Amino acid sequence: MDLVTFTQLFLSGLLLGGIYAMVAVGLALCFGVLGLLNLAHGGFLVLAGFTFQAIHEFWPAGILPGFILVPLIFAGLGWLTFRCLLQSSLKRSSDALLIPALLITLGLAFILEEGTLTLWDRSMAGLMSPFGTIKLGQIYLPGSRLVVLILMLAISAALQLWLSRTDSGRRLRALSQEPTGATLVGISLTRVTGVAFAMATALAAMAGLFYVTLFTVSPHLGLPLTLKALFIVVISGSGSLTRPLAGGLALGTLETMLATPFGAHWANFLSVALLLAFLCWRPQGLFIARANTRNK
Amino acid sequence: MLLKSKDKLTKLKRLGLVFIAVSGLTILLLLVPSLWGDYARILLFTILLYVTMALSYDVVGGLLGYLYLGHGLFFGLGAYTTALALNQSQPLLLALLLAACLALPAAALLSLPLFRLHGAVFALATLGLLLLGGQLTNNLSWWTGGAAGLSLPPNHDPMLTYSLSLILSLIVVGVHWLLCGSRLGLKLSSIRESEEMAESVGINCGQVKRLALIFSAVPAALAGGLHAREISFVIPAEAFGLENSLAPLLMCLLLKPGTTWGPLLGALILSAAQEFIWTTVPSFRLSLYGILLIFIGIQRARQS
Repeated sequence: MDLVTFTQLFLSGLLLGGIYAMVAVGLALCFGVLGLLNLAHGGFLVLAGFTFQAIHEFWPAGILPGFILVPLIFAGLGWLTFRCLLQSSLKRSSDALLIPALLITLGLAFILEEGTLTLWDRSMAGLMSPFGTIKLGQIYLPGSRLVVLILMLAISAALQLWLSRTDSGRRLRALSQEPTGATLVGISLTRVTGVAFAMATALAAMAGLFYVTLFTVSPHLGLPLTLKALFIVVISGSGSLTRPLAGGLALGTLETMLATPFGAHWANFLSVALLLAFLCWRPQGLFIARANTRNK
Repeated sequence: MLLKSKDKLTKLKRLGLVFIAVSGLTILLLLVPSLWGDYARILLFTILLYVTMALSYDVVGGLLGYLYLGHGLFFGLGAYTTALALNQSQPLLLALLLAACLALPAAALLSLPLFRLHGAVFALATLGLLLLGGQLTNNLSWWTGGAAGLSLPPNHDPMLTYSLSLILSLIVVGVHWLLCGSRLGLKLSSIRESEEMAESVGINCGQVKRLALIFSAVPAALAGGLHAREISFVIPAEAFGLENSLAPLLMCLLLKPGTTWGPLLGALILSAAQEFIWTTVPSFRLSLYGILLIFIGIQRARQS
């Protein structure tokens, strides 16, 4: 493999990784704050991709209206889902409630998958890119991919800033670190967790927008994608957004690199197998041991 | 002394009653196809397979109390093993034996890494394994026919498949019933209640859990094999489909997991409901599972 191919592959891998990273960050937000492993995340992503395409066809004023509308719609949808289905399972946060939440979100994932299939009655959604291709020396970079990569980095940075600088972000972090103490000083558990879930769903929707711009989306994509991102989240351990971000980028790059010698179907198999092996090797997460010693 | 012999007598009487009931039911079920034709046979065959799947799922999902999503892996393994053996023109019984012989070491091996995990992570890992199984079968297309599936030689003796499924489900019900009252069953329940406690009273948790997975995997593989024979076609998306894990899970959790009657009744109710709903509202396959899952999840959240 010469250098040009390698760079080209690395850049494409980074793009796929960017999507994994966005999905993983949304899930990590859910996991860290709510202690919830959300299997319906990918379902929302796929539905957002299809919705975006529908808006784009219906209202051909460029992609901007969709980019603004879809995350808003899905934030609302996420909030509604949380209030109706999940809130009851989060009254007392404990490890025992992970399982009911898993059952509920798995059910939701099925309903979303079949809902998408029934509403659209077709198995694919994709968009023609409005941007041209940029040529850097011998390397070709599709413009849409560049825009997506920049947007993804911007969104992740904004999320980090929101968590570290704003009051609502601090409330969220306080709740994730010390639920009892946070409720004692007057932070509303239901409101903050609801907002967190809505934000996570909006993130899933944005990832869906990017996915449909870069690749094609099919309704059956949701669960496998969610599972991969969830493995990344569990391996990274809770309480960090940068580790899932890095994990997602690494997985995407690795998968693209593996796809060249082995083919895409084997690359997918190998990446899931690798994640599973990691998970079984260090079930408590790769970074937990170090974090604990630091806290002491 | 007198009391004891009386006890023995009632026990004998009960055993006799059970025996008469079971053999009566068996004869009745064997007569059904000749009385009501093919539709009844296929419907009953499906229900019997569901009973097998639900009760074998219950060993890990109910008695041991793990949220287990990998049951379909062994179903798929059995289906493909049987299909490949039948395509080599082996007899059905040998093919099924091969499926069981493969499922046993597979379960024993997989239990080593899997049972390092607990709770939600275990559930995710088993789901991942199921997806991996499907993907692997897809990828080995020179051997398994890939995503397009594999056709089997035509099924000349549907009554044989039907009677085998009947025997299998009867054995599984019996074994499950015996297991519930046995030492192993009690060990499984004690691990469900508290793994640390079980370990501290000297139960070898790793070994017990491995046995549980084996007990659950072998019937699933046989069910998969019988299903492949019945429909004479296997395809990864269906053999390793999530539905093969979810249907038993729902049947087990619907009423009372960890008992014999719970999953049994659950299987009967759910397969009847499926037959009714799927023939009336076609695009409602997954949503039915989804709604039931949400319902069970909310129920569980209220309990804990």
